[in-house]
Amino acid sequence: MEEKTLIVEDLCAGFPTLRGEVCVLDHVSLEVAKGKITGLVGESGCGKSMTARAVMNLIRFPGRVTSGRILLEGQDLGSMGKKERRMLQGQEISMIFQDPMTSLNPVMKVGKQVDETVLLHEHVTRDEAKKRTLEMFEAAGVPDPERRYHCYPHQLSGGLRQRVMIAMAMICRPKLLIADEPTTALDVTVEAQILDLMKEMSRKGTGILLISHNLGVIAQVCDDAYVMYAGKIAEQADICTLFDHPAHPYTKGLLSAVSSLRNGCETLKTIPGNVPDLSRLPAGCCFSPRCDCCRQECKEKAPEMREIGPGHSVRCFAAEGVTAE
Amino acid sequence: MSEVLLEARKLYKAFPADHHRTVQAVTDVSLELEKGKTLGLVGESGCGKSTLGRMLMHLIPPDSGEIQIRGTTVSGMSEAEFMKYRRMLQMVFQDPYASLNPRMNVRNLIAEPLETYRMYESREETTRHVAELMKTVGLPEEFLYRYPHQFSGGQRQRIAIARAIAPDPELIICDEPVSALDVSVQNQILNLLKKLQQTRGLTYLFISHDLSVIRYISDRIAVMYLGKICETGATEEVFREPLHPYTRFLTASVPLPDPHRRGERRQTLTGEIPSPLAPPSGCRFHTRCPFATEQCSQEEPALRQSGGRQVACHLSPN
Amino acid sequence: MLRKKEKQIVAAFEHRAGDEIGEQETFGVLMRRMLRENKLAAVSLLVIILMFLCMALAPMLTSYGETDMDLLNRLQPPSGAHLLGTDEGGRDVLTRLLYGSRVSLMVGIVPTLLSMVLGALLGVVAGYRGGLTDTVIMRLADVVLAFPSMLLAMVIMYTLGGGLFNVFLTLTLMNWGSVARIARSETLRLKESEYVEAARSIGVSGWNIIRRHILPNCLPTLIVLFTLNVPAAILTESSLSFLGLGIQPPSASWGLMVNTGRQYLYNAPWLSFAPSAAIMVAVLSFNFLGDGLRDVLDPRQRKQ
Repeated sequence: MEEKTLIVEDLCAGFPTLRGEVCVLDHVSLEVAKGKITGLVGESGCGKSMTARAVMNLIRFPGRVTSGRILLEGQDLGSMGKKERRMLQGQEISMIFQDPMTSLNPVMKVGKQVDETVLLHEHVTRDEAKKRTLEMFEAAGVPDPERRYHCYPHQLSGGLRQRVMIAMAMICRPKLLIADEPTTALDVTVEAQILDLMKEMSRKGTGILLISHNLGVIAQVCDDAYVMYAGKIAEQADICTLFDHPAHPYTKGLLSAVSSLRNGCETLKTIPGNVPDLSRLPAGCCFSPRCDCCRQECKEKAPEMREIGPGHSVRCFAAEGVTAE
Repeated sequence: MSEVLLEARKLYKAFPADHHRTVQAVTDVSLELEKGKTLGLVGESGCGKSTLGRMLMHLIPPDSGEIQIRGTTVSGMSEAEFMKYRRMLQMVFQDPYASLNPRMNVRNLIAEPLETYRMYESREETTRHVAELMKTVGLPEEFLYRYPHQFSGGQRQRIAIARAIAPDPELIICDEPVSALDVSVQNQILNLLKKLQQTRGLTYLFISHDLSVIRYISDRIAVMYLGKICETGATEEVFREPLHPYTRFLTASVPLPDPHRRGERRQTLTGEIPSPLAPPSGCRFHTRCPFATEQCSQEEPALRQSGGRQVACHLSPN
Repeated sequence: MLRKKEKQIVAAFEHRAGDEIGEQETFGVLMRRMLRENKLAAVSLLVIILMFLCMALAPMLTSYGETDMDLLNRLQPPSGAHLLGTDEGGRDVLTRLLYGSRVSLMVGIVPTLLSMVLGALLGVVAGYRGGLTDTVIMRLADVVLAFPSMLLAMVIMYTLGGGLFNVFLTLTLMNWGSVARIARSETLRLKESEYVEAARSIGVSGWNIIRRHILPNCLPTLIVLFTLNVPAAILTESSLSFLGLGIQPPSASWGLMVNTGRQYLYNAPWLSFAPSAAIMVAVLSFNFLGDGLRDVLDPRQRKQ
C-alpha cells in the first residue's frame, strides 16, 4: 500500500447567504500519495481552489468548513490546536499560488522573504538561513542566485518570481505541496520549465496536489487526477485511465472540447449550458441539465461515487467501467 | 488573391520607462490583413502584440511607419479624420470583466455604437436591433436590462462581441478574447466567432498566446518575439514545419493533453524572456537559441521571403 | 486578501438575478428600491422632508415672530408657552429654530450642490483633456485650496458685504477646489479602464465618454463627498455669522444660535442644545441618505 501524504475525507464547506447555506464543497474526498503528483481538475467555480484553502486552513468567515477530516500523514489536522496548526503551514504543508506578484511582499527583497520562512520554522542562525535560501534558489533553477537574492519582486520576471515562490514553499522540506494554478500566469516556454521542476520535486519525496483547469498541464505532470464539478468530485482515476477511458460525461465533455480544438474540427465540441449556480443546484445529479445521456433517475437522485475499475471511481449512474483487457 | 483590407508597414513604437530608458514595444513590424481571412498574432508576454493591436486600432500613434486601409494611409490622421474608418474597425478585448462599463446595462452597452453612428431613427428601433444582436450571439432577450456583473465570463464576452459587430464592421481585432475563459466556454466563443466570420464576411486579427486557439482560428499566423516578427506563413505550414527556432520551441512547449506522450519532449527552452527594456543585440532570440552562432549575436536578421512564408533567421531556411 | 475573496464569492451568489427579468432602471425604480431595502435611508429621507416642511411652513407652525423680543422673559427654560424656552432677548427658541432652518438648510445644501457641480465638471474636464486645460484648472483650484478657508471667506464677505446670497457665493467658491481635485483623480483612474478604451475604439466622442462612462462612475465618490460637505457648510456659515459676516442678528440661523448660546451654557443650556440637536439630525440624515443613494446607484451593491 502506498503511503498517503494527504487524505481528505468527506470535506464539506459552505457560506451562509440570504437564500440559505450555500454548499461550496460537498463531501470532497481525495488522496495524495507520497512522492506522487495528484491533479485536481475543473473549470472556474468548481471548488478546487476552495479545497486547497480548506487544507491550508485558509477559509475565513463567512465561509467555513462544516464537516470532514483532513489527515496529513495520518495525523488529523482538525484535532490540532490553533497554534500547532499554524506552525504546520510553510513547514509540513506549503502552497504556491497563481500570481506570485501578489503573494510576495513587494517591499521586501526576495532573499529576505525566503530567509524569514526558514527562521520562522527552524532554529537556525541568519547566516545558515541565507545559505539554505541560496541552495534552494539553485535547486529551483534561479540563475545567478547571489544576485537575485538581493532583488525585489518587481525586478524579477514572472517565471523567476514563481521559482522564488517554489523555493520559499520547499525550503522547509514540506511533506505536501499544494500548487494552485502555478503556471497559468506564465508564458508557455517558462511553464514547461516550471513543470519539469515540479516533477523533480515529487521525485524527491514531496507529495504534490496540483490544481489546474489546463488539461495539458495535468496530463503531462500528474500521476492521477480528480475531476471536480459544482463542488463535488465527479471522477477519479490514474492519469492514463482518465484520459483514455473517461467515464463521467463531464470529463468526456472536457476532453472532447480540448481534443476538438487540437484537431481543428470545423465546429468545436462544447458542453451545452453553463456551470450551475451553487445556490440553485438542480435536484438529482448536478450535471444532469447539461448531460446528453441523462436518464430519469439522474434527475431525481444524486449519484454517489462508485468504483468502476481498479483505482477508477465515478459519480454517475450511467458510467461504465473499462473491462479488464 | 483576396483584397488586402489593412496593411501595416515598418511600424515602430517605444514607450518611455523609468531612468530615461525606453521599452521597445514594437520594432519594424509589417503585416497584411486579407478580407474575410483571419491573421493570428502569437507571442508570449512582452512581445508587443497588444501594442500592435492598439496601433492598428488608431488608439496609439506609431512612432514611425504606416498603416493603410484599402490603400489610404490612415496612421497620420487626426481623430476627426479617422472617424470615417472607425466604424469598420472594431475590437474585442481580453478581460470580459473590465471591458464593459459596470454601470451600463446590456441594452446601452450594445447600443452605444449604434447611437454613436446614428444608425437608427428612434430609441425603440435601436432597442429592437440590440435584441436582434443578442440573439445572434446567443444571449437570451430577457437579459436586455441586466448589468454585466450578473453574467458569467463567457456571456460577458458575448456582450462584447455583440457590441463589436453592432456597427457592421469589416475588421475586428480580437485581443486575447478567450484567454480568461474555461475550455468549454472558450470553444463556444470560438465557434461563435467563426460563424460570424462566415455569415458576415468579417476579417479578424486574432491576438493570443494560446497556440491551440491560434491554430484553430487562423488562416495565416505571425509569430512575434520581443517586438519583432520572426516568422509568418499559412497556419498549417508553420505548425507542421516551423522555420524559426523560436516557433519550433513554442510549438513544442505546449503541454499536450495526452499522458502517453510525456517522455517525448523535446528540449525545453532555457532561460527567461529578456526584458523589453534591454533587448539582446543582434538577433533578439540568440540568448536562448541553442543554434546561435557568432553572426546571430551581432547582426539582426531581416525578414526574408521563402515561398509563401517569411522568416527572420540567419540559419533558415536550413 | 483572502477574506475579500470570500466576500466576493458570497456577493456573486447574492447577485445572480436568476428568474427575475431585468426591469428598466429609471431613477424612480431605483429610489423605490432604495426605500424598500434601506430602512435607514428611508427614515433619513423622511426626516429631511420633515425638515423642509418645517422650513416652508414655519410661519404656520408658530405664533411668535422670528424676532419678537420679550425682555421680561429672558432665558426662560422650556415651558408650556415656550416649548424650547427663550433666548437672551426673550425670543422663542422654537420659533427661531424653525426660521433658522431656512438659512441653515439652504446654506448647507445650495452652495454644496453648486460647488459639487462646478468642481465635478471642471475636475472631470481637467482630468480627461489633460495638458493646458488640466494645468490651468488645477492651478486655479490650488489657489483656492491654499488660502486658509476662513480668511478667504472673510475677504469675499468684506468685499461683497453680508447677506445670504453672498454667503452662498463664498461657500461655493471655497469648496469647488477640493471637489475638482477628487473628480480629477477619479477621472484619471477611470480614463485608463478598459471600457473607456473600448468606447474610444468604438469612436464615441470625448464628451459622450465623459457623460456615459466617467461621470456615472465618479458618482459614488461625489455623493459621499456631498454628504461630508453639507455639515461642513452649515458649520462654516455659523462661524461667518458669528464673526458678523454672514447672517446678521437678529435673524436666526442654527449656527448663530449655537454660538450665541455658548455664553449661556451653564444657566440656559437649552439655547445651545436645541440648535445643536437640529444640526446633528440634519447631518446624520444627509449622511445616511447619501450612503443609501450611493449603494443603490451601484449595480453591484444591490441586494436581492
